[in-house]
Amino acid sequence: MKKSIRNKLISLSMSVAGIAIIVLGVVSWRGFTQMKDSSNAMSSNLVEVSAANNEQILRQQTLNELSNLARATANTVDARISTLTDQVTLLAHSMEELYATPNAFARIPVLPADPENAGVYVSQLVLAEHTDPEAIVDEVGLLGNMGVMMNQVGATFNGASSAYIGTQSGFTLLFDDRSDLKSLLPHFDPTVREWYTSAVQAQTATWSEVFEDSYGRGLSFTCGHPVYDPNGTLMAVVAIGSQLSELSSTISDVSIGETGHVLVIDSNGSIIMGQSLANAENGIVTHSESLFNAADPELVIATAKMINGESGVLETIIDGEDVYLAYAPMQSIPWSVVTFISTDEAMLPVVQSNELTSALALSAHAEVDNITSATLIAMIAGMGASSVLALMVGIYYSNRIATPIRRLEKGVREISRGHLDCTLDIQTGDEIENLATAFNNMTSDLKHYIADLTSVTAERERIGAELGVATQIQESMLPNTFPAFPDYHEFDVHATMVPAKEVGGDFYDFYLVSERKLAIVMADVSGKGVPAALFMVITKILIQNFAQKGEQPADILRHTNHQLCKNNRASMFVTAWIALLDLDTGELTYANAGHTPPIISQQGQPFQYLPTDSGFILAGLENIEYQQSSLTLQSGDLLYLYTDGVTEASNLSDELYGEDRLLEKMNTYNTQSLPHLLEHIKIDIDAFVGDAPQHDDITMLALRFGQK
Amino acid sequence: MTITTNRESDQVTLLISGRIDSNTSTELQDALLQTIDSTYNVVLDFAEVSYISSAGLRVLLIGHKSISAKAGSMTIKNISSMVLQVLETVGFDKVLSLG
Repeated sequence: MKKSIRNKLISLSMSVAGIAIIVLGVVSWRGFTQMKDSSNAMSSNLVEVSAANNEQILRQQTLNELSNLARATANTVDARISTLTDQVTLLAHSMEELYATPNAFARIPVLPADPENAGVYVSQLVLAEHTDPEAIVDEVGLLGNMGVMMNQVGATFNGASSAYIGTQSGFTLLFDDRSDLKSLLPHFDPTVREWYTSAVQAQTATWSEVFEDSYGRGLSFTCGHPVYDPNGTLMAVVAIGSQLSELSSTISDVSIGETGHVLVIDSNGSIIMGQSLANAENGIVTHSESLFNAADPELVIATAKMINGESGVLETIIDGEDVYLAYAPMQSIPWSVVTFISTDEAMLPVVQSNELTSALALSAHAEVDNITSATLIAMIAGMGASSVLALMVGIYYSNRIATPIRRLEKGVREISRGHLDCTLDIQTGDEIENLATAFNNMTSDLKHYIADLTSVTAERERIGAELGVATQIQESMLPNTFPAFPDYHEFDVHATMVPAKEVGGDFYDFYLVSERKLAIVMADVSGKGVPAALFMVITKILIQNFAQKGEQPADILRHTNHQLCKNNRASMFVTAWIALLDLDTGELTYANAGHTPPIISQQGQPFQYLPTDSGFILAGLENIEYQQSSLTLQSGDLLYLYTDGVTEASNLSDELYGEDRLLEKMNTYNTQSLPHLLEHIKIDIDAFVGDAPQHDDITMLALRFGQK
Repeated sequence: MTITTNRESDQVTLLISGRIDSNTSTELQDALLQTIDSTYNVVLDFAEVSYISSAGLRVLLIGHKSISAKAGSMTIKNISSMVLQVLETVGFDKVLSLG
């Protein structure tokens, strides 16, 4: 099946639209996919970077806070401790005044502890085992003056659970409200106690290591200050003992989240205070544990730094848990405050933030996916719609183009079937309309042409028919009944004329101008067709007319010429050979007006051309004179007249039949009857000419004189 | 048939080549009459004329009449024997200037 223009156009538009849509689709798809991937990668990256960043910031913040907290706690504890230090120094100065001027003071006796005084701040005396009670009575009385001041210190200062004085002479004065506990330790040598020896060694206020209280009051620490007499002899050490529980309240106020802790370590690295520790009661560590024993080497190194009075931060492991840790030293005592919090808790906001960010990123992913999917669906739908639209547009324009062409085709078919009245009404304003207009013009022209042709053909047929009639008339004007003169035995005459296609200008003629005189005419009018035929008729009549008047051949020609020249604008002319035969004498009088000379056979001799004066043609010029000749025919003599249609008959090779051939043939058929003679010549001419067309009339006349 | 016109001072020579018959005579007639219009002295060179029909003879007759009317001269030269025989047959040798 042939593809129609419409289908081709639709295919074309669909192909173009399809390619455009596919290209657009592929580009868009790639773009969307890349955008989606890029967006997802970006948000994932954002989550990671943000998480890392948050973690970093939070870590730093946590460590800063832990540091600040450690420093602040250290300062708070420090402040308490330095107050006690100041107080001890003040007490030491007061005692040195007592020793310097003992006579200025009364003696206030101090008794051993009476358990009934429990709850009341009173001075109590405890002797060492080796001490003689008598030897120290005066010194005890002197130092008894410190009672009021010492009791006030113990009662007033928070954290100072008790104050006491140990002497080089071997007794101890205690100033506290726990008289009930002294029976537990009836003898006590102060000079071997750590707080005593360290103060002596330091020669100024100094803090003891944390130690177990001698009276079972828990961990305690003591600030001792040596006291000298004016000679610089060591007399005693005054001390304020403080229980750690008094200080622990300062750190128990500090809160660090849920897993956060505050610790205080001493100069051994041992934890002496701490919050919420498993091995602590009321914040006081009962089983002191050293940080030097920590599993994490980093923490061990850091512990050394703590003891060295440095501050710092680190990430380490405590009790198997990752923690952020900070430490800060105290100024007045070689202790450090340690703060820490589990990284999990510290990083909880980051984790939450990360979870939130991840959730946001996930939702962003989902949103991007949704948007991408929706857009792709919209794009596919758009492509579909575009394809449909392209198809519709294609069909529309194809119809617009193809429909007129179909109508044109239909119209042209109609026209080709001969319906020339069919007109194409196509108004597309383009080449198709031009084509339709051209077809309409062609049809119109064709119609006119056919009409013209019809009328011309009719005219030609009419003319042809008329020419046919004219030919018949022409032929009928020539004597064609043979034998022509059945009553005359003196001669025989026969003639034939084979006209060329149209009516011609040849004619022969013979008639009796009198009873005993026969006129013979052979003529050829120049040209062919109706004018020649008309001219021939005129010439024939003129010649006959003048012959019938009894004129001689030369006169007949002269008069005829004169008449023909009168009205011969067409410059036609006639060649003519005429003769008059006297039937009695056989005398043949003849004249020639430019005609081919006849052939004659006399007295049984072969044929030869009759020498004839070639007179000028008829109707050419006026006033032409013609020569006249005569000869006498014997019985049996034969005269043959012809027109140039015989000698100039030509074959396909343009060879002429010629006069020589004519002579030969005439001699060959000499003895035949006249009809046979002429027939043979005609047959011979036809044989010579073959398939070449006959150009001219072939006209012959034969006359035989004498008895038949 | 072809016609070559050769114009030299007061004389125009028409060199005719080929057959002068009913098909070509009109062309010769037009050329001849046009020449006669412009000159008094026409020469027809028949050296290459192989055949002349009655239509050709008619043209010669018309030419003769036209040149005679304006008292000019028309000469036919270099006539082949075959053509000359035709011209003699129709008596043109008595009227036309042949040579």
